Amino acid sequence: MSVAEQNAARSSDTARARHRLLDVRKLTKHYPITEGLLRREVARVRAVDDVTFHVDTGETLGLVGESGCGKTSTGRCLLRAIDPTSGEMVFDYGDGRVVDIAKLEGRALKDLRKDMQMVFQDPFSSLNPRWTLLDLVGEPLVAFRVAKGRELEDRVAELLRRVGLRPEYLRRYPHAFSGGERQRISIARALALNPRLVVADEPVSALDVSVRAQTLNLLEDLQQELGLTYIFISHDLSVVQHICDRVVVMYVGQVVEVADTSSLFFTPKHPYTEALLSAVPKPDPDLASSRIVLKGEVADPSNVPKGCAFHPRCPYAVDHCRQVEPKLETLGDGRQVRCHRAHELSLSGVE
Amino acid sequence: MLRRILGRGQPVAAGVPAATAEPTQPLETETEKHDYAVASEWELMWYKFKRHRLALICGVVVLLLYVVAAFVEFIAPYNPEAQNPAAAYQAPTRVHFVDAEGNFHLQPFVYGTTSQRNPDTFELEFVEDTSVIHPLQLFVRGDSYRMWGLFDANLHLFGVEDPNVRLYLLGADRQGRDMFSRIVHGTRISMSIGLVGVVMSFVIGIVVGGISGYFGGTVDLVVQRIIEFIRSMPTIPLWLGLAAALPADWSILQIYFAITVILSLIGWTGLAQVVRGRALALREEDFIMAARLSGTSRTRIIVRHMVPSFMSHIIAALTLAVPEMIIAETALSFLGLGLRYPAISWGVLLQEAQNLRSIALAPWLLAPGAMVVIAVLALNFFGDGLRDAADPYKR
Amino acid sequence: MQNQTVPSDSPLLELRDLRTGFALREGYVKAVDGASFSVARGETIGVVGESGCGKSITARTILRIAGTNDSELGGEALFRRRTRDGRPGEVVDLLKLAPNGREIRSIRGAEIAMIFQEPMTAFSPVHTIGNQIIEAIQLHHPVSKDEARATAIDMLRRVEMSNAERRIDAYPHQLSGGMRQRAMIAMALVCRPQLLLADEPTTALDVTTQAQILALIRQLKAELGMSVMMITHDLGVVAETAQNVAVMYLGKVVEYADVRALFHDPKHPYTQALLASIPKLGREAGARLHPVKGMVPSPFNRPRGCPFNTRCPKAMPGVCDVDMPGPTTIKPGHTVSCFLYGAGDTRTEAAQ
Repeated sequence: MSVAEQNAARSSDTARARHRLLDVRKLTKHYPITEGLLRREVARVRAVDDVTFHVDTGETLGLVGESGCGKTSTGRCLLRAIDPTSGEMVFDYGDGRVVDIAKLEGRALKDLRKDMQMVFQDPFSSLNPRWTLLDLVGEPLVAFRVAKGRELEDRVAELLRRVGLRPEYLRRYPHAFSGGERQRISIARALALNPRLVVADEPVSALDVSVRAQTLNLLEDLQQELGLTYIFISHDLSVVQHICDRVVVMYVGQVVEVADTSSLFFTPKHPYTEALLSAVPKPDPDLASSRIVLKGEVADPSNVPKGCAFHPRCPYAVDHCRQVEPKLETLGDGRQVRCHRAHELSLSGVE
Repeated sequence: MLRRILGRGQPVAAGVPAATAEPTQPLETETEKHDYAVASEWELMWYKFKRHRLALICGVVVLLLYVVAAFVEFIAPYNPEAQNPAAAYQAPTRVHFVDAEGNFHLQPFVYGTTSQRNPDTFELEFVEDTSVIHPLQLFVRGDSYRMWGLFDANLHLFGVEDPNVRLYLLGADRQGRDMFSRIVHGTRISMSIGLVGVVMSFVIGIVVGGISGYFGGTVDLVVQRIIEFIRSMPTIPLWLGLAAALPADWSILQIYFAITVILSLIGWTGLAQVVRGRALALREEDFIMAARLSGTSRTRIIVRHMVPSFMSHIIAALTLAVPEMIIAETALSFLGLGLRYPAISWGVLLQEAQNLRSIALAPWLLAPGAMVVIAVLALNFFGDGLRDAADPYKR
Repeated sequence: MQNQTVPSDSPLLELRDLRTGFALREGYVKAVDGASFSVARGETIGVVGESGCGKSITARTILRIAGTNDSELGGEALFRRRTRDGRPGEVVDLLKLAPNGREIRSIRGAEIAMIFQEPMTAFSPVHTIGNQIIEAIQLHHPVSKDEARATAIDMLRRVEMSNAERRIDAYPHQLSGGMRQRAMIAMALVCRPQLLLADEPTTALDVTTQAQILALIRQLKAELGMSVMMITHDLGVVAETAQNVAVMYLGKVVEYADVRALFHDPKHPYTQALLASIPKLGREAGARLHPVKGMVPSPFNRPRGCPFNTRCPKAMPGVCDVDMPGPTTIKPGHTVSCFLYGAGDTRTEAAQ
């Protein structure tokens, strides 16, 4: 069966049985800060702290937040690029096999790579400059001994065509390509093994403005054709609103709000989400925004404030927020929010 | 900003979509003539290195020095041990194009020399005998030698046909031996001791540095402290101590190897740090993680991604380590603790220049020092050029 | 009667056909190829464009810190200096000044200041920010160290740096990204320049910090009555801060308009395409994006004719790929360099 047929088969499968592909429960990644020769732990950076969310097949889940919020660490834990401190990441292959990614080792972990791939932010550093496109895009195929020789070339050419690059470029090196094209190469490589889930970490942030739309459209087209599921990590809320079905908002390692995209953007429930939305500069001079300018800076993940991590910057904070850490609670409509005052506040979203 | 995008030495078409690169206008640079899009790392390095004019010239000098080192017997006009008491401290023979009558000769020539005592100062003076012209010729027969221990020959690159006329291009030493021939012979040991020493330090350095960089953590900590300890030891006394411990009855070859070992025992630390630095930096590269996430095995990542990525840096570092070795050997030999007679190296030759009287009388005895300077400078500039070209992808 | 023959509405800075480039080994790069626009007093002008469009080089050329040779410069950059008592003074052509001469140095920092994307490039890591700000003050004003320090603290307070008395003695690395940006703004503004060149001042910052810094620049601009040139690739930032906008593409100003006209009635196909391609926050989100086709050409490989013709959906073969369109005024204050709106002062491109 050719790649295309396999994909077609799978995408019709997924259309029939949309299931929970990945269930992340209480995922935590702490980095100890050590001092001295004996490496005594003096503090810990709570990069990812008790993160829970899930992803269904065929959807695009956005992970948003500012630098240091743990979105990238979360993405890397999911792929076991780094090992989580604790927590579960249950991956359901959909054919009866259900695994906890956090516990996988050796062969099983390698097998997972066939179904989970990553697209990196920086299209320059994520491609080995010494390799040709054939080597780069073909690397996963070679690693899993899927194809070699003539067949490898055909498969890679096919992948290149799929992401809009000419198959004749097989023998070229990445330095001959611009940022936007290199990101296509990265995408082709991520798709080589027909993954179910692609974690895209800021895939368009490093690209020129006029090239971003091409790449976003390509990602959407590929999702349609191949029935892919995306976890889309980004700090750019306009891109997130454009491409994501559901969004997880993170602040200092924690999930503060989870909702489907339109609810989140139009009726945010967490004051941080509201402030984030308000802070985005809008390309429309008439939207003289009544902007909420937050005080202070993102909290230091090695020294998280007591109570709600957001309280020092929150315009709605009350004493309770300073004392007690809020839990992520599920509201009536299935939305989740980590805020004591979620029920009483009426926050404004985008126009 | 633009500069940042273009990169200072980056070849032309970086970022040109290949599709639009179809020449709407001819691109003038040489880089473009070769298809830039399919240029491999080494080709890119070559483009970059080529632009470094000084390094290129020095590269040629280095190459010449090694060619000389390989063919010393053929290039030197005389046997370096051939003595001629009558010619002690003879000044460099002058090479003429115009004879005493004022006629120009296309072929350079020398005059025979006779020595006589100055009746006033009683010093030996050398006077040119302008009656007979001895042209310099290529490929003359002269002293016989055994080439590479394989075959006997007596052909020399250049010289004078008449065996009674001696050519002293760089003068003669106390025993009337030809300095030029001796320096040429010294090239072999002086230039090769650097190479052999560096290869030894490289092996130690790459293993220790690789372990340190790859494992990181506590291993790295311990290795780094050891390296710092070794580096903090004053080198000259250490060499002196080690060299003094060598048995006096060893052959030249044994001493030679012992000296290289001594030099590389210290020299490896710098290389180990280069290797470690590269390995640590590479571990963090996105493309290494990308390879891991593609299911590529650890061995394959090391062999196919990591080693090629630091090979060019290592070669540059090696080139820069060679001159250190040459200087070290020269210093040791000069102090009489390294190689000694009958071995001929630049350092050994410089021993002759140790006393003031001979320098005053025969300043050409310092010529081996000039060779050391030339060789070290050439290697340094060449190495600098290599280092700058070593990362053609730097943005 | 004061006899300054200066009309009060004369521009603070006027660029006329500014050109500059670099002779690199790979060939000559036209970094800026005929940029003309002016900056009025108290105005914020946005300069937008993608990487390699020449927007940063334009700013650096105005300050004469671009590192180009005089021979590469063309056109004029007329700047109205300020007299000692703060009134408009003589007009100088910045491009005619010696790049390290006395006059440009008395302008740099004192009358035109610049802030950068990465504050660490503006500060020396081995001196406290206070000492660096004090040095900047004393460079242009004959004041004592104590007075300068008081001014510096006052300026740090103005940029809303909490605990300014203590933070003045901090080293740059001890501050967070946002705080460093504030310190750099303080240093840039401490001599109350007439013009602030802000080169992507918020690109490296998080959105919430970006909002803080943009608000700060806006507020300080009103307080000090200065003009700002906001250089950015982010159309959102421009829409929120600028009154007039110059859009640059491959070294050329392709469109110049006031901000409303530019966003609501863009004329140049590049501006139109750019606006259509960015995802917008709001109700229409999720609709398919209309990307600009192709990639930004390399500056070494500029297309012949209009720089945008290879990517332009409205390109006219035989016209756009032959000649370079000159600026055409559509209505007062709105100029476009595009053949769709007439030829402008067309220059036929000679063979490169």
